[in-house]
Amino acid sequence: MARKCPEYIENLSDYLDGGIDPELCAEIEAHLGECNNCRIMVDTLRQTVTLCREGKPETLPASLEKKLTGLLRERWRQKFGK
Amino acid sequence: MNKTIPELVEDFVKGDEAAFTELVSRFQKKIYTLAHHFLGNHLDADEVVQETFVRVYKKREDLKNVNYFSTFLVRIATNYAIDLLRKRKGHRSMSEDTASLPGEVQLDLSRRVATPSQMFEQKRLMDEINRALDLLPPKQRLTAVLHDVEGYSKSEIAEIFNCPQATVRSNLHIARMKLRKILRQRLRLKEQK
Repeated sequence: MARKCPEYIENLSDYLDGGIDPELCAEIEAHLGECNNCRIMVDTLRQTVTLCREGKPETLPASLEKKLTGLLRERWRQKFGK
Repeated sequence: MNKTIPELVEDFVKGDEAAFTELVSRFQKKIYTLAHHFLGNHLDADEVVQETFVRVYKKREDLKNVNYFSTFLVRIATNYAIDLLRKRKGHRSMSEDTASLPGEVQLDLSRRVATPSQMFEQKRLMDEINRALDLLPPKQRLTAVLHDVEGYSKSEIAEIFNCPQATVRSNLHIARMKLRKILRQRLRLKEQK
């Protein structure tokens, strides 16, 4: 029996990550070819993940990292007295 | 030659302070970035970094039975970050609190190479994502941050939270669906481009 949209939606996250059984993957892809709502859902879900990745701030500048290490060590010295 | 992490951990457990300093140096950025993503501001992220390494220092005997130092470290950091988030909830906005940084550090941040409009857009996007993440329960939020922002695998996250992978998958899916709903205005704008 064919699955309904909510059952496919439940698996869309795993589908996007590629960690899904190949049979179910083929089934989802066939469904996406027919169902506009699920296609929009998977597209926007994919964009959400992309936005989160794009939003990752730059890594700390080396000079800042050095200063943070210094601050941290100073606080340890205060805490442990070493 | 640089020592490997297991070698440094072994030395640290034996009481070698220099090994501990090296571990701090190798992992502090990772913990800071994770905490900053989760908590959204420098002060709290800094506190997580300090407290995480202080706890590791105190728990060094436990490290004898630890297979992966990184997982052990991230587990301590996430537990502390969740506690901190619960404590702070409602007391502070999630935006970057650069005013709290020492003067020189503020200066360094202003030297990042990016055009003003890129910086503005990046900041706006981060604020939107942080606001959206802020609406999620801590476990879902941390799962989304670890997986979608920091790039941890589901099995690593399961190990960090000491839970089945199915729980991670479910939390991630729920978190993404909620984020999708919250960020829909931004998604629509993207579609129009």
